[in-house]
Amino acid sequence: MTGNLDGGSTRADDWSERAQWLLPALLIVAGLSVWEIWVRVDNTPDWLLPAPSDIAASLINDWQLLLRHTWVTLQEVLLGFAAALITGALLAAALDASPVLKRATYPLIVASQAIPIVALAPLLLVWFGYGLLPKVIVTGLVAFFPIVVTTYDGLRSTDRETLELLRSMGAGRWTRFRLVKVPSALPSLFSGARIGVSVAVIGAVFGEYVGAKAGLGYLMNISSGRLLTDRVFACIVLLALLAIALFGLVSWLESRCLPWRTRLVGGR
Amino acid sequence: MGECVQPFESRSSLPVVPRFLQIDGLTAGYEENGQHLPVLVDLTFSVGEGEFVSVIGPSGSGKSTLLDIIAGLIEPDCGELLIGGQRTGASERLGISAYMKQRDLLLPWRTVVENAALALEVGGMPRRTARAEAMVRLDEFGLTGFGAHYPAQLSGGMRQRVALLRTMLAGRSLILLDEPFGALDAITRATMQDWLLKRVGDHARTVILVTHDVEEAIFIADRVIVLTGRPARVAHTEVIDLPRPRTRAMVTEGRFVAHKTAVMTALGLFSESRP
Repeated sequence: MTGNLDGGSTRADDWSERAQWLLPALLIVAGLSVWEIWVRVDNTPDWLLPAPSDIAASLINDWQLLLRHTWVTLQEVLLGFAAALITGALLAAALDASPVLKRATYPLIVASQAIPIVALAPLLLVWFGYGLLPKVIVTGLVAFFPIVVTTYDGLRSTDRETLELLRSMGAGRWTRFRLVKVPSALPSLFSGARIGVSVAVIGAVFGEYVGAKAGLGYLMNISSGRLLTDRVFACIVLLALLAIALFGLVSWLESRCLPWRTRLVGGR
Repeated sequence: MGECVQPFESRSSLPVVPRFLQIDGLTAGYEENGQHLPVLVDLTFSVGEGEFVSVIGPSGSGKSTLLDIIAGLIEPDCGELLIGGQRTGASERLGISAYMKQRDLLLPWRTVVENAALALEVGGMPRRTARAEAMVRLDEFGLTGFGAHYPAQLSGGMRQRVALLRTMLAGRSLILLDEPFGALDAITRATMQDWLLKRVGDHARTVILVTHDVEEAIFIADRVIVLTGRPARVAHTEVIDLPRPRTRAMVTEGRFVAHKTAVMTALGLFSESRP
């Protein structure tokens, strides 16, 4: 029931929009400057803490190597996330459709989150080897939980009176699900997906840490062993960028899929 | 389950020519803390084809339950509901009526046109055709140029007009209105009543309007059924003797006032013992 034809004051909006980018950028620049100066004045050895300029140099000099490993990690993240998204959404729908199934499996789903990935990852290595699959599984496992929980909540919180209205129109269960439940749960699904894609990156790196032949996690592991700390930092930078990019991608998809929301928040 | 009152004379008193909707000995209630609370008791009345009936009663008198039963959403404890002389079960009545509630229940992700076409789409009409049908009716409901707007971009009165368009467009023979203008301010409300009269007049449908506004009940309807407090029975039926089309000025006429007095008396609004 929230009408919002009344647009806020535009000058304040403009400023806050600019500040949104300006403030974090300034903070980063300030932080990097302090870091750079500190390392140079203190003469800290490279292997202990490289200067931001060293990290930048590593990013530039090793770009081919870094790109190859980033691609591997990206593949793991995307595959694991896609698997988590599909199974998560389907499971949420099944839980919503069947209270019996919900009562039987929901505690197990929650319990699955208590299993330490630290314990599971080496086992997956034993079962599935050093290839892509065990990493995809770890990634999928960590991304799956937030997606199931938020999507299920979204389906559950569908407006009851609206569902009754559809029923009075003669709409069957499937029609009600398709026309009302799915669209009203989509915002929740996207919230879950945004959390899921962020933790998926962590999952992939962890999978690589335990045992791999490629990927940014693997590269970090061997680089730190050889005291190539600047390259470790370069990997961290790339991982952060990867997470931001994927988060942004999900947010962009959300705005494309839910035009009624974006048009109301930012639109004219 | 509550005890069913056996209708003793109602069955034999049913008219020979079946009325469009006949409600006979309807009894319903719900369980709360293991106790059965009766909401409707032995309710009997009928509605003719093309007739506009208002149902008025104190709040909590089970008016919404009555509409839910007619719409087929709830199965009553006992009693019969006949449509065109045919006994119907709740599930058979789903899809027969077009239901409109106090909340507009527009789907926020659908535009005005898409919302208006909803019942047609549910009824199996191809999307494009349904939306085209809705599109041509926008003018009639004062929604010109708003077809591509989302509900959150509209005012309360406009949203309610979209809901009204959705209800009318459904093409059902029976229209159920549950305090459709209850949440609107007095001026918007009066305008909406005029809209409703005009649109229903154009299409001659059977309408049951539930309201707790005495003036609205009389102004719009051919007949006003007054219910008692919970559990609800029919306290009084007032046949409204006012010509159509109705105009606002009638509200001050002697006949209107007489109807109003009768309905208010039936509601017990004049008895001195009221707290």
